Amino acid sequence: MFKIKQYSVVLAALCLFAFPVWAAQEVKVNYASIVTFLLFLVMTLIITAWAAKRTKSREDFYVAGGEITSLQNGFAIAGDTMSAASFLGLVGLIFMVGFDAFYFIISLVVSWIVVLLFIAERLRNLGSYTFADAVSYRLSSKPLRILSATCALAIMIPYLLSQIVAAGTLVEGLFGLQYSHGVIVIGVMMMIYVTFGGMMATTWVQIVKAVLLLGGGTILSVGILFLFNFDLDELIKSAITVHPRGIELLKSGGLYTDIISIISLSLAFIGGTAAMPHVLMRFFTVSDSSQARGSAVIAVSLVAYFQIVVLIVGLGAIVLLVDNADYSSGGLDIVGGSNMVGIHLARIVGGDVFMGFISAVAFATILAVVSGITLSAGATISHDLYSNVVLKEKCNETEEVWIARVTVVVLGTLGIYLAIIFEGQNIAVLATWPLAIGASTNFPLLIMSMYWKGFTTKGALMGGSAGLILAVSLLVMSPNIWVKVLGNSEPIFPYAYPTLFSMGVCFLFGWLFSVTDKTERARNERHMFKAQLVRSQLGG
Amino acid sequence: MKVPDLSEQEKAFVEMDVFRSYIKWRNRFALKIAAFHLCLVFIFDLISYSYPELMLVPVWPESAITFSLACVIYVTFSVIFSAFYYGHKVNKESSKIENIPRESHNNV
Repeated sequence: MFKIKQYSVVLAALCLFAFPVWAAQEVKVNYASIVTFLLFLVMTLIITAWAAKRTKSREDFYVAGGEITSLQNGFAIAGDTMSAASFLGLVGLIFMVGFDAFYFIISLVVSWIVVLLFIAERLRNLGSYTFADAVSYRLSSKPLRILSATCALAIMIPYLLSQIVAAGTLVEGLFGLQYSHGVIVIGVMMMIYVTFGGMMATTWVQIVKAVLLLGGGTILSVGILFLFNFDLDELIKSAITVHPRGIELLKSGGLYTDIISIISLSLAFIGGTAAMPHVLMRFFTVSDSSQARGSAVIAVSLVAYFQIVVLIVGLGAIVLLVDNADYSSGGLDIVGGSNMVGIHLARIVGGDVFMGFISAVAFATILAVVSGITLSAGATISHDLYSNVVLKEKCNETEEVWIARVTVVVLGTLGIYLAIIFEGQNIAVLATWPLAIGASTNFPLLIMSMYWKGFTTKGALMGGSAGLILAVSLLVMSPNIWVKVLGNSEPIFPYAYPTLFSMGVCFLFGWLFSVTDKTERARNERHMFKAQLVRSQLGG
Repeated sequence: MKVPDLSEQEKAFVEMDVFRSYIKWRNRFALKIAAFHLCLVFIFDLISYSYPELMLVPVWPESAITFSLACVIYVTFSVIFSAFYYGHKVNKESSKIENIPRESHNNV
């Protein structure tokens, strides 16, 4: 087992690697952010060393031995949801367009009530390590695991890449570290957490980060309210006065101008959040379904609370940053782009030290999220594909965990390599993929397999494949990729998100090919629904 | 397909009225909460698109807190309240199921 002494060597190596690079940079270095981030690294490496001692079996590696409490899991799940995109991205969006960011906030919050009501407990009772366990509970395991794994990887790889590229860019601006060095630091740290500490380390890293982010966000929003004597009315009036959109700031149309894109966006958030493999996997880390329910209740509350924080921070940013000569070259043109709005605001509210703290928390946020995604991808490949499909469940625990660890290292290395290649590329479009694909594949499959007696393997395969193909095709043909990335003048598919169509097709094909499936296998699958229903309620 | 068969004890348990009514109550309860919140989302989407001016109406005269902001704040707190209420009610109701002695499952 990996020893603490070895961790110290790794940490020392990272510091030795990082400090000369920082020292060599000519940009202004914020030492508060470096110190905060190094403290975070030390703390998380100690956690990883502790977790590594407790990670002995397959169950320990994938789901922390089911020893996580509902409170801990609630914080970890909320941490997974409160990514850099949902903090820096949403604050930047409120700053730029105002009202249209509310679509994101409302649908993100409501998505969690769907997870609580329909997914958390049944998933916990039916699955073991991945969501594919629950989908294939009474259906044909091999084809469904291949489909689920394909969908999961189609979600996770672009998500992972977009996060690492974002981290590299963030590091350049915040720490004065070269892009490639930032990408390597985040990739190496992610591999250390997951490979040695498994789910236990990943969960605790996420908890630490969630507490820091919630605390930092709360201090920032209280600081903003303090500047306005805790008068929300005054804050909003000031925002309307200074923003170029004026009162239109609180009216739709800043980002989306058609109802199809708006409804598709809401569906993408509602279905997509409920279908993220790395989030779903967390429900297996608790001991039973009541703990899963408790986790979801806590996660819902924390995520919803955080959206209120984001709203206040966004409004505060408008008042304090629009036309502020220190941070803006006029109007909404902010130094470093709209994603830097939250960071600049932290400096105005709390000075360099607080800005350093928020910057380090933002970087830690990405680090914690990519660790969860990588672990989930490792479990998908080793448990779903290698163990269940290739070796037909004849794989022993040690070998399976070894494959998962190798997958994590390969994915981490691949992520670093691709992130360096993609430097400077417009990768923001990749962030739209995970939610749209999740909502068009995993979400309908999970709901239909757990709640509909008539659902069959044929329906699942046809529905899932159609949803995946349509979602990917329409995303490529949408304005975000067809016009912005591929440089065409007009998009083939005119809407920002394909979810209304692709999710609809997945449900439709799932239903159609299930009701028309008259085979003996389909009859058996329908017959087994009662046993599945009881297991989903009672567990065991 | 390796779905474990139900034991005789489990078969008897799931046929009990108390269990069946619990499941029925719970499904309806979850559906009501979900339907309410999903309706809120899509009605918000439709109104904001169809009647954008409505979003600018202040919640009280001279207030800067408009209908759009009030909706965001209302949905957020409604979700928090509903989550805790659901958790509390289900804990309370499920304890009735859990408190049934295992032996009595066979006495149905």
